[in-house]
Amino acid sequence: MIENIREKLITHKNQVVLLNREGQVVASDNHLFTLLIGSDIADINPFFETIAALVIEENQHIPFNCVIIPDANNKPKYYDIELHTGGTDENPFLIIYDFTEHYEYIQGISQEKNELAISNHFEAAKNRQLVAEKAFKNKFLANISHDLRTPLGAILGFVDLLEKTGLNYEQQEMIQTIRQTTLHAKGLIDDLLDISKIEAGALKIENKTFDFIDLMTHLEKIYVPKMATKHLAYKMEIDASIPNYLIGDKVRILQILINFLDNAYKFTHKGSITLRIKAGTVADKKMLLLVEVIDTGIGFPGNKAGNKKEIPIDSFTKFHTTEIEGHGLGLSIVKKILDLMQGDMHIDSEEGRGTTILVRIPVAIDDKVNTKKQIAVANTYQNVKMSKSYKLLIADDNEINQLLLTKILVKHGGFYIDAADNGRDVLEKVTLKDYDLILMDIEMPEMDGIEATIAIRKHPLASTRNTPIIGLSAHVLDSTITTTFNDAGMSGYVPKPYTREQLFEEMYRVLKIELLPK
Amino acid sequence: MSVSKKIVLVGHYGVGKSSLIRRFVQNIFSDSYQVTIGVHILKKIVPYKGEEITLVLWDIEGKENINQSRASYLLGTSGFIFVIDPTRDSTYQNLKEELIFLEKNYPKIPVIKLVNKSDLIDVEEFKKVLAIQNLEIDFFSSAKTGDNVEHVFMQLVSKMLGA
Repeated sequence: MIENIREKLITHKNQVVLLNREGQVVASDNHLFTLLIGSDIADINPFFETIAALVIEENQHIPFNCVIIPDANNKPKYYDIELHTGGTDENPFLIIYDFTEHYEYIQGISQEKNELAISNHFEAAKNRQLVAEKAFKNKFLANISHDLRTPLGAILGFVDLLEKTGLNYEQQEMIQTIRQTTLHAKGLIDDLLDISKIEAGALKIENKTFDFIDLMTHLEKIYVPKMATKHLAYKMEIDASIPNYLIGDKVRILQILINFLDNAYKFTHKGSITLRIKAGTVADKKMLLLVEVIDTGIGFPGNKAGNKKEIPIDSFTKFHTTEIEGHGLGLSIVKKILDLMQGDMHIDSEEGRGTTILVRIPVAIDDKVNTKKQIAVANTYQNVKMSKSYKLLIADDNEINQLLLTKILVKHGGFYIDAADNGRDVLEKVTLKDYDLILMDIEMPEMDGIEATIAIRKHPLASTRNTPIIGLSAHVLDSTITTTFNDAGMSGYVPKPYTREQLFEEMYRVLKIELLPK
Repeated sequence: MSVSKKIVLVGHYGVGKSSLIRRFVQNIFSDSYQVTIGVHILKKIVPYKGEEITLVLWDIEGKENINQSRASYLLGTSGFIFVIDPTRDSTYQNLKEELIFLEKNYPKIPVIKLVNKSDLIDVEEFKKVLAIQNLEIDFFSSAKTGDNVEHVFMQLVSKMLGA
């Protein structure tokens, strides 16, 4: 029985061939290849051409694995071949093993593995190229944004000044148009930057303590006068149980609310706009802000009166970005920011009756003692108590910016102003004179604002070392930049382009100037 | 009896070693990629200076490093062709090390450095890529179009026979 199995399955899978030193066949069992005595072994296949050269050296054992020798039908067969060159009085011999089945299996696996590796290579190369293109695009956008923000800041600043020079009604109207157009351009630049950051995964949601009531006050300050221009009633219904101090991304929450309120403002021509914010369930110091922005505007086309229903966000966004001219990217950005915050939004709309946007924004409650404050219109710079005149140094390499800042400060009153063109100039000036505050541009030749701030913070004289410094930069405010400013030792930061109110709000805070009620 | 010379094509998998040999010996080309495992040997007799030379062409399984190849495959080699694929930088990133390995283990055996698949690239641009990496290449060829294939093998014959 065993002999039968061996004969059938093993013996006929091997062949032994005895050779002479010239590579001719001396004996063969011919189980795999039929070889004639005296024939040249190289006649089987070109593989054996090299054997003749190798048999010259004695006592060698050389294995050749997986040698492909096609059969009579040109079908590949796979063999392991051992060459034993033998001793002085011995004949060299070959043992040939047929491992076709085994190697066919291996071939299938190798085929799959190599194809996958090659395709992965091309996929990875494609991805690398996409990443590089994206990085280039983002850098380009960041640079363009910076370059565009600087002149926009100058325009807005001079518009502010021009407005207060006794213009007639027609001139006032024109100046308002310039302001609105400039603000619109600024909004578009900000949107582009946000989109590029989101795409690059660079937009990070901050988790910092912020004053919720201040946020609401800020919104009221913007929208009460704005809604009045269209004779719309603006109502704010804020749940009194929402704590003052929340943890979240104030800037992005403000961006979301402003976007929805602007949206409502744009599409509502009569009636009212309501901002309603309720506190969701609190668990483990986490809660949801349940925001509703309700308008009585044009609604979503197709949703007939009496059939108020939920609109898919994408359809709504598409309608607002393609059908309504000049709307920009706002809603798309808000949706992406909400996704990053793990919040969500729903839109109910009815044609001709209005739209309700429902947003859920996750926040945390700060441990600080939360004392309730009233929402009040914030003080502006006219209502401050200046106990003395302050010595200010403004550092900016751009003459127009210097001029603008000087005019704003002179108009306010209460400041002695010096100017410096770059960081090195600042260092010279602070050595000669003590200042109450430095307004420091960041991008300056020779020595930039960051380097100058670091140098001042290392100054041997305490009075110089401790001079408050507010950074002014057209770079977009994000966590990386604020960290850089904080690390350098800046006392505050105002992003360009800024309004007078933004500038003075930060100056009052840093200089500890007391605000008086209106 | 004609002179017999063993030529081994080395390089990564998928660079086109089998295709080059098939183009040279049988003048055929297939776009479908068929992995070679082990070794497949073909033969071609070429005329050289009035004599017939038998070229025994060893098409061995592609590896990421030559030292992963079975040593017995490389025994008795008279000439190497190192093939790279210009569309996959991994096939030539370690070219210098691979050539040092051949020089050390097979001294005085001629090696031709060949860029295959030249039909897929801008040759002049790729020469700049090679220059940046300080890599020297002997020939560009395409097994697909047949461009330069015969010439490369004959150049190796010339080197092997010391002319």
